[in-house]
Amino acid sequence: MSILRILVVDDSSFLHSIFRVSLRRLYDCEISYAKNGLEALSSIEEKGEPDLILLDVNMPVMDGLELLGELRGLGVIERVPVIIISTEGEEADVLRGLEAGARGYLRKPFTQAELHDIISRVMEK
Amino acid sequence: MSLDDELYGDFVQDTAPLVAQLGERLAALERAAEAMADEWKAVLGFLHTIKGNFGMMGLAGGQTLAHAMEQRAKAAQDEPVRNQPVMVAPLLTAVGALEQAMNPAAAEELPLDLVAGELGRSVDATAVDPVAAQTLAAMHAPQRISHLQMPAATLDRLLELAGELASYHGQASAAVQAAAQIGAAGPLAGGLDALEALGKRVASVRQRVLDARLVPLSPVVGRLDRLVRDLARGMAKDVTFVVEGSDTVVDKSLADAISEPLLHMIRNAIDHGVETPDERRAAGKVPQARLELRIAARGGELVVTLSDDGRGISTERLAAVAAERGVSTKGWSERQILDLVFASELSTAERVTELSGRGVGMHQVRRAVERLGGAVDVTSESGRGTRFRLRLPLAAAIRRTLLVDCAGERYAIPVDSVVEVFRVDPDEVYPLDQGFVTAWRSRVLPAHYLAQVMAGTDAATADDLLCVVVHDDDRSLGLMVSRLIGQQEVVVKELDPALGRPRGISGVALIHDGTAAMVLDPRGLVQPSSNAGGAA
Repeated sequence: MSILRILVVDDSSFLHSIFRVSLRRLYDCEISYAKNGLEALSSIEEKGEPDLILLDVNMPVMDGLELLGELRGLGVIERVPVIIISTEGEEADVLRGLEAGARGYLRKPFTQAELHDIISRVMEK
Repeated sequence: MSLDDELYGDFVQDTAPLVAQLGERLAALERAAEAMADEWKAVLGFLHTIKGNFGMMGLAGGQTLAHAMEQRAKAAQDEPVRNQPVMVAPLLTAVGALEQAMNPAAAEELPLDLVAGELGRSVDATAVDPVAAQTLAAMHAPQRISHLQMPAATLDRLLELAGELASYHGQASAAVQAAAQIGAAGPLAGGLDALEALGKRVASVRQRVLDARLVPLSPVVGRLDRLVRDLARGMAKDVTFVVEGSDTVVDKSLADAISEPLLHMIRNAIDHGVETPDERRAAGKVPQARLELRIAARGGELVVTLSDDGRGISTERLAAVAAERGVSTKGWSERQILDLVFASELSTAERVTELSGRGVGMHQVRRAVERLGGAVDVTSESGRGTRFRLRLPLAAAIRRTLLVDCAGERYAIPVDSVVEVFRVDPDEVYPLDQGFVTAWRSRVLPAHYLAQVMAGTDAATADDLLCVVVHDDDRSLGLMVSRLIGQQEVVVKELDPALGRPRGISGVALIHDGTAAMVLDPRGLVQPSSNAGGAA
């Protein structure tokens, strides 16, 4: 299997650590990190489209839903699966995100198994 | 080590500043005389991230509390300004609880649900019930501080002290054992037991200090990512940078020291190793070059390889330039010629840079790596790419050394490079070229009088009787010294840069009696370009 290129968009550097450790254990992958939607857009511009985007909802500067809108405008959403990472109380946002083209969602706190599960399901489609 | 243990440090490092900033924002809001929508937005942002962090760390109490705070903050931002102090006060209290909730042990004892419940009370319900009052008192009780920051130098000193403790312990044990053998075994038996227990504790203290000094290489490597991007863009090259193992943890001294050589190597790889997309196409390669940095800890060593799929280093060119400079490479192996990349006289030559596909300053990389007690080598295939490999001892700051005395000066020789020590008859040491030779294991061994090489004192003083054989790769060298003092683990400090970088010395060691000894770098002494017989 080729190396999975994953873009993690989350404003918490602790969550970056979580994803780094969990994803490395699960996959042969190359992970890029962005702290908000704007950073995610420049990451995609510079490094090209990843194979998968893990997207937090609530972030400063440009939040997850705004980024989804941008990705849709760019057509990225057709090619790259996006998984929304949400927190308790963000159900409405998750629904809007799924409507906007996200392929799945995962609620914090999640386990490594749950992360693996949602990624497998989304990547199979 | 579980995922949680591994990540707890990251959790605190990320979350503690957020909680502190949250507290500052809330304090500002409590004092505010006008509506501050942006402040509330920031507060909600912090709370959201904090809630997520607690949740991921499996600290449900903190997560619940952060959630309750979020709800109250959402309600508070819509309240009139005059009500805000009342709305904010319980939030400020809860910030204190959040701080404590980061410590899993403390979190269990905290009435976090009560604090969370308190946050749900309305603005009008100003009467404070007894339980809530108790909770508030608990929140304002002196806090337990679970994580400390300290200057790195403190840990350096602790490590030195731990080393000294171990050394004194060794001496005391030997003395007591010797005393027990000549009598008074009864009373001394208890002492021996205690000394043995002490020895274990000392070793454990040392290990704890070493563990505390471990840091991940990710910050160092993170900077390289940007560097590659910028450099490649500046030179119109298309480079994919792949990093593996950036979460490897190493002693902080190593993390500090490795940054510079890595930078150098990467700059060179992009500058000279990797071709432009057009050149690559012409050579029948994919236009995008690949630069791979692999980091791994293996068998007490940190192994770092940097490989590119660029044009490779031309050994013909290297040999040609070496010949121009009067160095004949006749009969040299491919490997020996490639090694010229690290020769200061050659790699600083602009021509070599252009012709050989490798840039300036690789000798600086080798020197830096050797100072850390490591080695660097290179393999390359013309047209296919180049690979540099660094091997560095993980415990760079500590080395087991053989302490020797030489004309009154003391030197520490890393034990792992010592092959043998034998007594030598001064009459069987013969001058040759700039140094000496003697016989060892039925062959001719190049040798130096250490005092002459290091201090420039007269060679062949009568008491230079012991020969310490050191080796590097396939070369050996004898160092003639007066006396062996013994083995000792020492903390190696780098020399003051103002003193320059004398070849053959890697640093200074503090030894247990409070004095210092030069730490020899056998590699520097053994390699032929060293001019080690500097008296000439």
